[in-house]
Order: sequence, then C-alpha cells, then structure tokens
Amino acid sequence: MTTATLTKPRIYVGLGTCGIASGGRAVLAKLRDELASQQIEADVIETACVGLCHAEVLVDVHMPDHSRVIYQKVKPDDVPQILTEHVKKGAPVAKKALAQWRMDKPVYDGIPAFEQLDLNQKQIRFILQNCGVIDPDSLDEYIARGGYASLRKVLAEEKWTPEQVVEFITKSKLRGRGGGGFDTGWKWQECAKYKADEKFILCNADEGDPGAFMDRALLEGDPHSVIEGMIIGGYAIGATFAYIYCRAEYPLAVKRLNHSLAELRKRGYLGKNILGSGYSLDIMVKEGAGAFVCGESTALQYSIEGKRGMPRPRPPQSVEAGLWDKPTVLNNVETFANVTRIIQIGLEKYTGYGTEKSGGTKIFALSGAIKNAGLIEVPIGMTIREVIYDVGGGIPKKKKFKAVAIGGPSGGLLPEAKLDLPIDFETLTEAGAMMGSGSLVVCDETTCMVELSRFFMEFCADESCGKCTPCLVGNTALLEMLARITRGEGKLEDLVLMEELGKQIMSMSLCGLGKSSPSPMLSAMRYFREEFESHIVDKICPTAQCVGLRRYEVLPQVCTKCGACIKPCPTGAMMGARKEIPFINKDLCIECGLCYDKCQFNAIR
Amino acid sequence: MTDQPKNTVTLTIDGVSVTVEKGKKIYDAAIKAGIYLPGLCYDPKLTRFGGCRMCVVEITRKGRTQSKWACCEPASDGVEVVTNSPRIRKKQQVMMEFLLAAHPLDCPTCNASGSCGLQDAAYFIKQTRGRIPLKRRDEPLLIDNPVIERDYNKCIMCGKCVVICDEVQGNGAIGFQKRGYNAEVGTPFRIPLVCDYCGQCLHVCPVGSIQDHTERYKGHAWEYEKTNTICPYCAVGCTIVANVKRGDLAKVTSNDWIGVNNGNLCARGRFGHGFVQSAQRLRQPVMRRGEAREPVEWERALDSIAARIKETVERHGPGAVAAIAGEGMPLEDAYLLQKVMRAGFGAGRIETLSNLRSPALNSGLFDTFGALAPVTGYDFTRRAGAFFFFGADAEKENPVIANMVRPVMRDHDTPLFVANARDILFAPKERARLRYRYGAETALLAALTAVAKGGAADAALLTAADVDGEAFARLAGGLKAAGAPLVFLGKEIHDHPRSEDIVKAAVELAAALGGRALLYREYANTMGANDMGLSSTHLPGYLPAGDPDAAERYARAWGRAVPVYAAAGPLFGALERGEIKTLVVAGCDPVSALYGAEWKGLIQNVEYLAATAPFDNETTKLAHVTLPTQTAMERPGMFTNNEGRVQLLRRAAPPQQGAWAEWEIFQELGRRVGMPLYAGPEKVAEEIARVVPGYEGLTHSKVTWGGSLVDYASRAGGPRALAFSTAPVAWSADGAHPLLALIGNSLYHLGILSPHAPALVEIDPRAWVEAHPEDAAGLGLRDGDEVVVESRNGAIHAMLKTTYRSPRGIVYIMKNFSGAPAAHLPAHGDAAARVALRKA
Repeated sequence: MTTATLTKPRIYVGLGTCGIASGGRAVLAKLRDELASQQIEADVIETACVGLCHAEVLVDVHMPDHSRVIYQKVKPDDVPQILTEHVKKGAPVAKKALAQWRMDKPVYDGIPAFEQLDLNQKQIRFILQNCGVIDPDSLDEYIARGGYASLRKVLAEEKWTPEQVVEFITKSKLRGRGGGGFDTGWKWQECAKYKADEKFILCNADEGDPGAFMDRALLEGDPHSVIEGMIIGGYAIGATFAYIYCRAEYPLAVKRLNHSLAELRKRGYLGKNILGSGYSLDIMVKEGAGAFVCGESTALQYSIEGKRGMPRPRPPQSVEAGLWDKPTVLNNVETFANVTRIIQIGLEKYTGYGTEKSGGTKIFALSGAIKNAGLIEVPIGMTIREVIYDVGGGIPKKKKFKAVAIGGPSGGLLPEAKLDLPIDFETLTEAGAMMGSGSLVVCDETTCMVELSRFFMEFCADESCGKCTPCLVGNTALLEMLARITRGEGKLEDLVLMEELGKQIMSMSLCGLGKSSPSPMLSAMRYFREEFESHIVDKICPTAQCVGLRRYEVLPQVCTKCGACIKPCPTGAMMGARKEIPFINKDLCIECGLCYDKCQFNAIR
Repeated sequence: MTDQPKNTVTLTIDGVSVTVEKGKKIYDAAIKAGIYLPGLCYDPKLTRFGGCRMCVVEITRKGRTQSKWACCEPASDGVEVVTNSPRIRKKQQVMMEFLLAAHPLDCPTCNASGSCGLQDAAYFIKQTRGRIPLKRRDEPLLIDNPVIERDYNKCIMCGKCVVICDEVQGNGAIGFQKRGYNAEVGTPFRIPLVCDYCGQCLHVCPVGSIQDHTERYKGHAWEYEKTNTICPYCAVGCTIVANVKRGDLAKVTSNDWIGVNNGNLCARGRFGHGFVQSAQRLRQPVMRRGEAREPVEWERALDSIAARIKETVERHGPGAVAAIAGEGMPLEDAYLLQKVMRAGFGAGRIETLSNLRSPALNSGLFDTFGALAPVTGYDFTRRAGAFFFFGADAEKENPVIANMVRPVMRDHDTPLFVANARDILFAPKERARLRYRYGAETALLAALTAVAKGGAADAALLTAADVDGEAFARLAGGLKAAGAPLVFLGKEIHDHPRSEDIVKAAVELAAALGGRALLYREYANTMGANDMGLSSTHLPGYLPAGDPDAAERYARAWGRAVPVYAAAGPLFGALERGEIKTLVVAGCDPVSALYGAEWKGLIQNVEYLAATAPFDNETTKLAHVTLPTQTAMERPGMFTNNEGRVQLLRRAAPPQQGAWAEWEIFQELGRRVGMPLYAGPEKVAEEIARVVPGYEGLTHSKVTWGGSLVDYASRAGGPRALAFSTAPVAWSADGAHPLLALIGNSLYHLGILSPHAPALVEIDPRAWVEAHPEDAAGLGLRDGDEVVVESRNGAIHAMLKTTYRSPRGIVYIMKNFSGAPAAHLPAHGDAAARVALRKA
C-alpha cells in the first residue's frame, strides 16, 4: 500500500509515548467521533514519534494526490475544523499546519515544506525515516518503504556469506550507538570466531538514561528496522536465538515489538529457514524490571537468565561466553537500525556522513531548556552549537545558555566554551563527557550545576547494584558531599577530595555505571568551579536552586513594583503594596520560591 | 622455559617467578608465590566475583602496564605483576577508605575480630584515618534462626556467602536485595532464613557480618586453641577445626586447605559439637541393682564385666558371649575390642550395626565384590564422566559429597543423573531423573546396564520398576553417552532389605560404563570397623574367622590363642534362641537403631548386658553395667571414611571428667585376663600398622594432614562374579496400613551424639514424617499436624510435613529422635513398613 494506491483520505495521529502524554488519545477519540458524525470516509492510522515532541499532538492529513500536511499542537477542539476545511473542502488550515511533506504531489501554498523547516535543515533522516511516517504495526507499509530489502539481499537475493556481512559492517565504520562506541564489525567478527552449539544475539533496549528516548522512538515508530538488523546480525555471527531486552517502562514498544515479531513469524521472515535461506532464528522480547544497571551487557545477560542483574568481571568477554556462557553479541537498538540502513543504501552513501573513525548519523534526544525538544538525527561530527541552535532552535524565553549535559548520568556537563566541539566519540570523551546513548539536556542560566551534579549522582548512587566497593560506597560518599555543598555546609577541602575520589571511582569500578558515574560532577567541577566555590565560601547558590541556600531578596533597581510577587506568597512573608518595592520578612519566609518564579523581571534572587 | 609443560604458565609477581596451571588467576599465582593480596571477595573455590576491588595489581605485558584485578585476570606467560607500587597502594587505600566509611569500627566487641579479612587488609596497606564522612547503617542484629546471625551493618558486599550458598551448597537461600547504598545480602523481604543451616556463609564471610550464633561472646580468634580433627558424625570424613578457649569448646570451624572437604561442612559438623560439654554426659559407671541404677567405681564395674564374660564363656562356651559395637568408635578401640574378645576371652561373636544389617556389604565386602568393591576415592569425582545418584538424597544424607560434586559440575559441566524412589531434589538441576518403584531397584539397574552395554532394555524390567519410558531413555542414553559415571548409592540402598543385590547391580552398571560405585556408609568409622574385624566372620583385614591359618596368623602376632570361629548363624536367631547370655554393647544404641521392634525384647532378655556410651540411651537403660566414654572429639585416634581414607583424630577438647576412651576400657578388660596394656592409642595404632593387612605403615605419625588411603587392593584380589535377582520385592498393602514408609536420617541428626547437641536439637527438635499433600488431604491431615504413624509392629508420634518429595503412597520418616523410634515400625530384616497415618 504505497501512496500511489491511496484512494481515500488518510489521517495519521502521532501516538508515540510523547503524543499520548500530550493528549493524543483524546484527539484520536474526537477524530473518530467527528469522522462518523461528518460522514467522512478516511483511514485513521496510529503512528509514532516523528521527533517533533515539542509540537505534539501531531496530526497528519494526507489527501489522495496531494502532499501530506502536518498539523501541530492539535487539541480535540481543532479536529472538526481540520476535517471540515481540509478533508472536505481541500483547503488546509494553515494556522495549525506546521509543514507539508511527500512533495511529489501537488503542493499547498502557504505551508512550508518539511525539509525546509529550520530544524530540518541540517538533519539527515536515515534511521528515523519511517518514524512517525508509517503505521509501525503494518509490516506491509514497512516493506513498501524498502523494508526487509536488506535482509532479502543478504539471505535470498545475493546470498552473502556471514563473513561478507561482517566485512561489510566493518567497512561501514559503524560504531555501537549504545554509548561505548565499540566497533560493531569487530565485535561480530570476534563472536563469529567462536564455535558453540548455541549463540545469542541480543538487542539492548534498556534505555535508562534520564533524558534519552531515541530507542523508544525507534521501537515505537519503526520496530521492523531494528528487527531486520538483528536478523542480519544473527546471521553474521551464527546466532541460534535472539532476545530483545526492553525495559518494562516502555509498554508501547513491547507491544509493538511483540506484534511485529508475530507477524514476521507468520510471513516467514522469522523462525525456521528464513526466506528459504536455511538460516533459522527466533526473537523473544524480554522485559526488564526497572534497573538502570541492566543496560550493562553482563548484567543484562544475568537478567535474561532470570538472575539479579549484576555485572560480572571480564574476561571472558561476552563474545566468548556471554548469555548462559555461550558466545553472545549485544548491540543497541539504534545500532541494529543502522545495520539495516547501511545494507539498504550502500557503503558509499553511508560513510559519506560521519567522521573518519565513525560512520553515519546519530540520533539525539534534545530536552531541557531548548525550543525544539524532541528527536533529531544528524551526521556524526556536527558541532554541539549547530545541534543546539540550528536544529534545536536555541534556548527559549530569552534565557542564556549555560551548559549541556551530554550522555546523561554517565556523561558530562559542557559549558559555552565547548560548544564548537564536534560530536564524536573521541572528542567528547576528551572533553570529560561522552556520547552516551545520545541524550542532550540543555541547561539555561537558572540551572545550578552543583544541584545538577547532585541529581545525577543521586541517580547513579541509587541505581548502583551494590556489587563493587567504589560504586556502592563511593557514589554515596560523593552524593553526601555534594548534598552538603548544596546545603551550604561544604568545605573547600571537599573539592579536592571529591576530585580524587571521583577519579578513583572511575578507575576502580567494575562496570560502566561506576566507571562513569562521577563524570557529570567532575566535568561540572572542571568548567563551573566558581559555582561550587560560591556555594562553599559565600553560601550562595547563584541560581537559587539549592533550597538549603535560598535567601530571597528583592533587587530594588530591577523591581518594577508590579506586585505580582505578593499574592502567591503562602506565608505572607512578602510584604508591601502596589507601586511599592516589596519587602521579604525573613522570619516568615519558607524559601518556597513562588515569588521568584512569578517575577518576570528577575528582580528577586 | 622450553621444557615447560603445555598446560602451565609462568609469570613473575613482585620479582618472584611462579608457575601455575593454565586458567588459574593471578591471585592463585600470588597465593602460590606466598604473596599476600588484600582481596576480600576472592575464594579459589568459588567463581570470581570481582566486587571488592582490593586486589588491584599492575600488569606489564609486552611493555604495556595496566591496572588489573588479580582475582579476574588469568595468569598468562611472561607477564610481570607488581602488587606493591605506590600507585597500587593509593588505589587500595581509597577503596579501604570507602569500606571503612561504611563499616562500623566496633572491633573490640566484634566476634570476627582477629579473624577478619578487613582488619588484615586495612593493616596490611597501612590504612590511616579515613576522610569520608558517611552515615553508617544502623540496623539491629538479625537473629531469625538458631545458628546463623546476621549483622547488616558490617557487611562489605563481597558476595562470597551468596556465591557459596548457590554454587557449593545448592541452596540459594540468600541473595542480593535492594540497590545502591541500601543493597544487602539476605532473604527476599527479610523473611526468616530457611536453609540447610550448613554455615558455609559464615565460614566464607571475611568480616563479622555472618556469625555463628552459638559462639557469641565466647572468645576472640586469638584466644582459641585450634585443633584439626575429624567430624564424628557421618562417613564422609570431613576435617573440622575445634576452637577451644580455656578448656571450653566454643565453636567448630573448617579448614579450606586440608582434608577431603575443602572447607565445606554441614550443620552437623559445624554446629553439632554441643554434645561434648553437655550436662547430660555420663561421668561415672553405673550398675543396676534391682530396678535402681547406682554409681560405682571404675574398678568395680570393670571387674564385674570381665568376670561375667569369663564366667559365661566357661559355663556356656564362647558362643554365649556377643558384642555389638558402634561405628563411631575410632580404629584403635575397634581393634582392641575384637582383640580382647577374641584373644582375651575366646569369644568370636562380634558385630556392628551395619554388619548385622548386611554382612555382604560390610565385613564380607571384598568376598562379595573383590576389586569391584564400591569403595572409591573422592578424587574420582574430578575424573568422572557423569554423576549418578541412585537411591541417594545426597543433599540431606551426605551434604559434603554434594558439596564436592557441585563445583565439578560447575567447572567441567559434568552431567548429573538421579534415580530415586522419592522425588528428591538436587541443585543444580540434573540432566535426567527417574522415579522407580521401591523394591524394583535391581530391575531398573539391570535395564540400565543392558542399555549401557549397547543392547535394549527388557520391557518387563521397566514395567517391574514402574518407570516412565521416556525418562528412562533419557537417563540411560545420557549415562551411556557420558560414560565413566560415579554411581553414588545412598541411604535408601544402604538400608534396603535387598541392598546386597542392588549394590551388585549398580557395581555392574558402573563397570559396564567404565565408572565406579561409592556406597553410602552411615557412621564416621563404619569402614574402619569392618577393616578392624568387628565381625563374627572376619578377622582384621578381612581374613576369614573360620580359617585356621588366619587365626594362627593373629595368634602369633598377639601371642595368644585365637579361636577359629565357625559362624553360627545370625545374632538375631541366637538371641531368639536364648543362646546369648552376656552381651557387650560398645558405643551404640542397637535398641533404637536396629530395624525391627523385636530387638528391644531380645536385648532386654539377655542375662547380662554391659554397655559403654557417652550418654544414656535406650540400650544403656536396660544395661546391668554402663560405662561412660569419651567422644571422638576428646581423644586421639583414627577414623577410616567411606573412601577408605585413614585420618587422624586429635584431642580437640579436654576429656570430660570421669569418662574413659573405649580403648582404655577394653584394655582394662584384657588386663584382667592377662593381656598387655598400651601406653596410648598411638601404640595401638602401631600394632594395627604392624599386623592388619592394608594398614601397613599407617601410624599416627605417618597419617598426617589429608590422611592416607588403606591399601585394599592387596586384599581384594580380582573382580568377583556378581549374581543378583531382578525380581522386585513388594510390600503387600493391607487395608489398615495403606502407605509404604521409608526411613531415613534427618539432615541434622545422626547416631547417638546429635540428640545431645543443643543447636541441632533447636533446628530440628522432633520427629517428622513427610507425605504427599494429596495423601495427607485424603486423610484430612494438613502440614504441621501432629500424627501417629502406625504399623503392625508399633506406632510413633511425629509431625507431618507435606511435600511433593514424597510420591503418592509413600511416606518418609526420620529416625534418631528419642521417643519416636522409627526403626521399630518395620519387622526385623526389613527397612520399610506398611503404615497408616492418623491424627494424634
């Protein structure tokens, strides 16, 4: 069912987790009601995240022989208008429309093309090409857009040997997208070397970093691209069984995966003798139980085995003795999607993007103080500044950029000065951050770096499995010291000690969790040391985020005497009348911060 | 290095060159080189954990230096390891700072102080005061069972307890719970600990987090005098370490480095030592006068016994005197008993409990099997192609055998097969399992042998054994494919009325596959008692008692006449016919232990009964004279375990006032008929080493740590032809007694000592019976009910445990509980009985 065969209007509703959270279900219900009452015949398709999370709920209207129009921030009340004007009368509601795409058809005037949107100028949609475009539950639609061509090419049409597959991937310079940046081709080659009665290929979909949602979007929006890559990988290493380890917090992804797998089994893409090639593989979805550390490869394997997810020391590496002590390859969701696409589009086009050491594109999840929060896909090697300002649209509310947290709780906090660094594995590691899975959390000037370090450290300390000493005790010790600083009880010597301990934790820990957990704190101390010192020496939190250090005062020079701060004060500490500079009674103030939030002129600090 | 064997590697650690097997870790090499590493989570017998991070070392390979962890990094050729550079020390000091920030520094009141790995490591790396202020955990001591107490505050999360509980003990009773700083080792939701109470966890705990509750505040490590000796309970022969402070036996620990058990012990061995200092110990000889029993002097008691035996022999002939000996007696005592009886009094009717049950598997062992005798060294476990537990509930009967098997299964992937009349459990999981009909063991074994030899199993045999065809095919095929099995025959076979035939059939199966059989033996010195000739039919060294040459041999050695004793039929018949006038019972309780309620009456009717025992028991209550004895923990001596290994007992605790070692008693009896005295048990052992075939050279000074194997080969000769019947035996049900009762030992009790070990009694206080839940429900009974188990021969009270381990129609009863003599349910000559259950 390609667009050419479109005979009646087709309406897509963005029902990824982001769409649902923004009220997509209500829009869908209203849409169905309206279609019935207006007696319009149309296909309604539940699609997933296209990456424009800031613009959800997205509704696409695709009229036969016309381009497809994206409506943004749709509320149930907007639905009747869109149906009446666009579907019935053929005139898009330009006010609500964000863009139009599938431009091969007649174009509507007054609506920008999707590719010409500012945020899309520098994006390359390789991996995300289907997300939010197709019905993820429809295998036919995936195939219609070139899906399973790679698998057919490898297994049926060109009958590649497993060695050829490995060689191809090695040449593509594909590196693991899970954070470590391990050379995928090399990993496969190592595993293929071992002979065993059973081998496993695993997909790591235990995306736990706060602020990361690339894998979720892929699994919800284009599950087949991941599965296809997995089958190819399984063939390359000679896997006998495969698991997708998906966190249980992604119910929609799990549902879509299971649906897709069942359909594939029926259609001969999965199971015994895939596509008549003689190669057999089945895939099972295994749900995690909510432990961050289970994203670590050995812990993930123990979790699949039904044991407590705890990392184990290496050697042996997983490629030699992993799951159930059999040779095992574990790759990230995005890596598998890349495999599919590389074989589909060929080496030349793929390696045309990226850097010398690392090919292709990378999906990032933009969140925090940024206009275009959502998913983006850019070539590896683009600078952080381009990502944040050109693609992300910059910082909203005219606030100033302060830092960007790359790689979540294992990454680092980079300041303005580092914005021109290209995003690739080596450069970021050097700068004290890491690519991680691809979360970019942007902080504006109101974010306290001490508090943010504390937050990340708390996350890591809570998620430590308890196995190795540095992570078990060390992270908690650092957390305690950070918390002390945010309460104004820190000492300058602490900073020296924290730095020493942080480095030792990173060098002595057993798994990636401990090896990277002090990283945000260390990078914050490196780039924002004066902020730490001001907490310790002056007992002042420059952003007033640290509750323990809040002492509010009104700045008379800035105050416009609007009086907006007086009403919200719950204790009556904010005193004064209209047209007067208010005064804060320190005895009554509970440092709740409501006045600070209310003041539009930054007159309270 | 050209002539270096292929399977070894040579590396340098701190300048010391050391060669180890391939696959060993750098830590192992350091141990071998005598270099201490302050690691806290490493144990050579466990899978590496890699948690404490203290064993960090610097490794230089091909000019490149890296920090690695000695416990995880395989030793490889030519690497240079540095364990003591300033960089390493700095790293270790930071790790120790972390550990000590979380660990309470209450060493003065900690039980582990002085034997604490954390203390040692901190001291070794010259730890100074920590800089990390951290709130320590503050949780109360967790005491939810009689023997193992836990202190979460002290735990350093080294994981050894969790790993040993899972890998070696197969219990998996504890695991990691919670996350982050709150992570802890324990049971889910902190439900009370229910496990085998083996205490392996507290043995490996490097700190004071898991402790022996029975030892609390009794002493610090440095105050104890530690003695290696042998566990007095079962026939495995574990080395135990007695910890004595100023004459008080405070606790038993184990030793990873010597003996057969690799530091493993079961609950009996570790916590069952309380009998030594029990207030119930007999401390003075007692004589019966009318109904009353009154204390007497040793001389008078001994005179009475000696005179009585002599008189009986003179009046009624040597056949009127008999002795029944316990198998918890060391070799010296066993040897002297038979020597004094034979050469001193001319009496040859000497038995042990095991020999009374099955002479062909005990004193007649080598006559029956020759070289095929089911006595196999434990080292065969490492060579075996498979383990086959037949009628064996190793986890409950010989837990330490199971402890030996599990690491081999872990390291070599050796498959395990299980066949049993009950649905016993074993962890890790067996490759195939089978349940057969009790009584049809030989049929099943014959069918397995047929398959092993490449043929097909006779369908009639499978029908007789009532086995599932598919499961049989899996098991038979698996055994054949694996080859060289170690067939372990358990208590169910040992006690079986057809045990002789079953063991023959099992030996044949093992031989057909190139494997070996090992027969469960009940007591610590059962094998030694056989070796020492505690038998009517055999002299020491299995020489036939009816052979004049053999008698002549010992007559020469002993300088006194030895009677040529033609066996006059079983003791049971002789007692029934009233032929036995004087009976000596040494170190056992035949009234409770022998199957058949008839024994009590028969023993009671003997004209004169002399008994030796450390505690009063059902037999001593009937005795005319009772002599208090020392237990094996209080005296030197030797035991021979069920693999035929002679091991040295040392005086682990001071002897209790008034109690004598049995060898002293026997030599005093001998002195009264003109036999010589010995200066000590080592002198008796020297005589054994001189005169008993197979024991050449095994004196106390020669049998050192690790023991020595008895040379049975010279005595055994070639293999014997093994004929056995495959016809099943049936226990006909009658309406009143529909269930078949099998009798076993509780994991926590064995022999005459355990009822006097307070910790074991607290864990397992009273008799219990296992039944299938549906059988119980059919009778209107529920788990935990008080029930009466009744057979045609008697009835006992017990607590009901419903479990799927018991198949329908079979109940399983524990013996060894005073007041509930389960052995009295079957008739004499049987080991199972038809019974009925009803609510008490």
